[in-house]
Amino acid sequence: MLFSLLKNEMYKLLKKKKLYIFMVIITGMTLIPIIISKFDNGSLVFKVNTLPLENLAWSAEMIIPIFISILVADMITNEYREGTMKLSLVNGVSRTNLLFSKILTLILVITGLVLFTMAVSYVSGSFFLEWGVPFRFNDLLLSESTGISYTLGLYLLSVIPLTAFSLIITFLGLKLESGGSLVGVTIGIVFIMNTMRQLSSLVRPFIISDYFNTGYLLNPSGIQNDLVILLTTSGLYFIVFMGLSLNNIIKKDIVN
Amino acid sequence: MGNKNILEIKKLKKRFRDIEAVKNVNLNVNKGDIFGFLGPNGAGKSTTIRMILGLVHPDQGQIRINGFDINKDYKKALQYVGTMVETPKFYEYLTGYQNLKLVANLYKNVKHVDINKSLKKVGLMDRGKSKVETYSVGMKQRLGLARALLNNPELVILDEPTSGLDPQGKKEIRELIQQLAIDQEITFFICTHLLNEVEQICNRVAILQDGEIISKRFIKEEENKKWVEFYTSQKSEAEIMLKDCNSIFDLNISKNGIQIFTIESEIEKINQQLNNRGIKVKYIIPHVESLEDYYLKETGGHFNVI
Ligand SMILES: Nc1ncnc2c1ncn2[C@@H]1O[C@H](COP(=O)(O)OP(=O)(O)OP(=O)(O)O)[C@@H](O)[C@H]1O
Ligand SMILES: [Mg+2]
Repeated sequence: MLFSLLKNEMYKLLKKKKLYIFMVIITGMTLIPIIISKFDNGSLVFKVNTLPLENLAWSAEMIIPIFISILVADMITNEYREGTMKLSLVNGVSRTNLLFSKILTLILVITGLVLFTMAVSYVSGSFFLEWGVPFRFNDLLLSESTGISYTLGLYLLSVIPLTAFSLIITFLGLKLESGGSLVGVTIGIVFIMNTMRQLSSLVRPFIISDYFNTGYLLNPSGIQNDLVILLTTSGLYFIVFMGLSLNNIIKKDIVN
Repeated sequence: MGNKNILEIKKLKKRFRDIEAVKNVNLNVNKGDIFGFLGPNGAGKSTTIRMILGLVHPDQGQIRINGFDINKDYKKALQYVGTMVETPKFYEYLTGYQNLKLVANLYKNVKHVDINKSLKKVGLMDRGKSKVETYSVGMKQRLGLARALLNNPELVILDEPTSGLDPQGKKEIRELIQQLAIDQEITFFICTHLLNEVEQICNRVAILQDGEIISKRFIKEEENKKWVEFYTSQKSEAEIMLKDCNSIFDLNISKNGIQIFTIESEIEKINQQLNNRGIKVKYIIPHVESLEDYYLKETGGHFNVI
C-alpha cells in the first residue's frame, strides 16, 4: 500500500512543472561559477574536482529548502485545502500511511535533487573547466577518485539534515492553511536560522540548517565527531517533528 | 424488518466548537436500499457522511459498515464503499482517466478496463483523456460518480449527486443509480435537498434537522404495502402494541395518532387487534400525501423545494 501511495505521489509530481523548473534553476546556478572562472580574470578559479562541493552550499542551503516547502505546500497544505487529501483516505488508506508516503516522497525528491546538483556540476564543469588534480578542499588533498567518492558521500549525507528539516516543514504544512503562506514562512525560517548560526556559536549546533552543506565535514581533523553531531541533531528533529505531524494528522477532522 | 444492515449508526454526536452539528443520529441502512438522507442546509448531513467515512472523528457513537467498526477496522469497513463527498474534488492538472488511475492504484483488483468501464457508465468515455480543468461542473459530477463506482462497491454514499447538472443530466444520473441498484445490487445512501429526487428513486428516507433525525419512513409503496394513519388518542399504548408486529414495516407517532407502513390486507386485522386491547380507533386514513407535504409538515416548512 505504501508503495502504491508513493507511486501516486511521484506520478502527481512528475505531471507538474515545478520539479522541472527547479532542475532548470539548479542547472543555471551551476553555470555561474563557470562563467565567473571564464570571464572574470583574476578572481576565483573553480576546478571540476571541487566545483560540486562549492555548489552543494547554495543547493542544500537555499534551493532545496525552498523546493521542500513548495513540495509540502502541494502535497499537504493545498491537498488538504482543495479537498483532494481525503481521496486516498476514503479508499481505505490510513492516515499514517498517507503521511509516510508523503515523507518518503520528500526523501526521494531531496536525494534526487541533491544528486542532480552533483551530476550537473560535474558535467558542466568538465565541459568548461580544468579538473585541477589533485583534489583540494578545506586544506585537504585527495586523489581524484577518492575526491569523487567523498563528494558523493557528502552529497548523500546532506540528505539527512535536509530530511529532518522537511519534517519541520511537513508539520507546519499540516498546521497552516495555505501553501503560499507555508512557502513564505519557510523562507523566513531559513533566513532566521542562517542569521542565528552566524551570530551565536552557542546555538549553532542546534540549528538544523547548519548541517545542510556537508562540505564542512571534509577537513584534516577528521569527520567522526562532526558526523555524530549531524546524525544526532537530525535524528532529534526528525523524531520530534514526525511525532508532532503524526499526532496532527491522526487527530485532524478532515472537513475540506 | 429483516434485511441485513449494511450501515448502522448509533448515537452519533459531533460538536465543532460551539456548534452542535450532529446531535443524536441513529440510523440503519439495509442491503438493497436506496436511502435518502434529507435535510435543510446546515442540518448536519455532510458532517454525518464525513463521520461515516472516518474523515471527521465523532465525539460519541458508533458506525458500522458491513459489520466493521469504522474506528477499529477502517480499511475493512471502507473496502466496499464508494463515495462522493460534496462537490467532487480532482487533481485538475490530470486527465479524468489519470484521476481514476490514482484511485485504481490503491486496489489490487481494479484494472485499466475497470477505469474505462466506469467512465463509460457515466458517459465520459470520450472526454477521459482531457484534463479535468477543462471539464464543466456536470462533467466533474459524473467523473465523481465514476470514481465512486471504481472499486465495485456494495455501498455508495453520495452527497448531492446531481447538483450542477442540467435537468437531462439529473434524470440520467437518477436512472443510472436505479439501474445500478438493480443490476449490481448496490446500496445507495444519498444526501440531497431535492425532494422529487428522493421521491423518485429512494425506497426509504430519514429527515435530519438541526443535527437530529426527526423522521424516518418507507416511501415506496412496494408491492401492496401502504401508509395508513390510525386516529387515536391512546398513541403510546398503540405504539407499544404494534412495535413488534411482523406485518408492520415502519411506524411513526403522528399528531392525531399513529402512522404505520403495512400490507394492505393486514390493515383490518391490525384495527381489530387494537380494538381487542381496548384502544379506540376513530378513523383509519390511507396516506396519499406526497413526500413534499410530508416533509414540509415534519420540518415545519422551511425547506427549499426545487
Ligand atoms: N469544520 C467545521 N467547523 C465548524 N462548524 C462546522 C464545520 N463543518 C460543519 N460545521 C457546522 O455544522 C453544521 C452542519 O453542517 P453540514 O455541512 O454537516 O450540513 P449539511 O446538512 O451538509 O448542509 P448543506 O445542505 O448546506 O450541505 C452547520 O451548522 C455547519 O456550520
Ligand atoms: Mg452538505
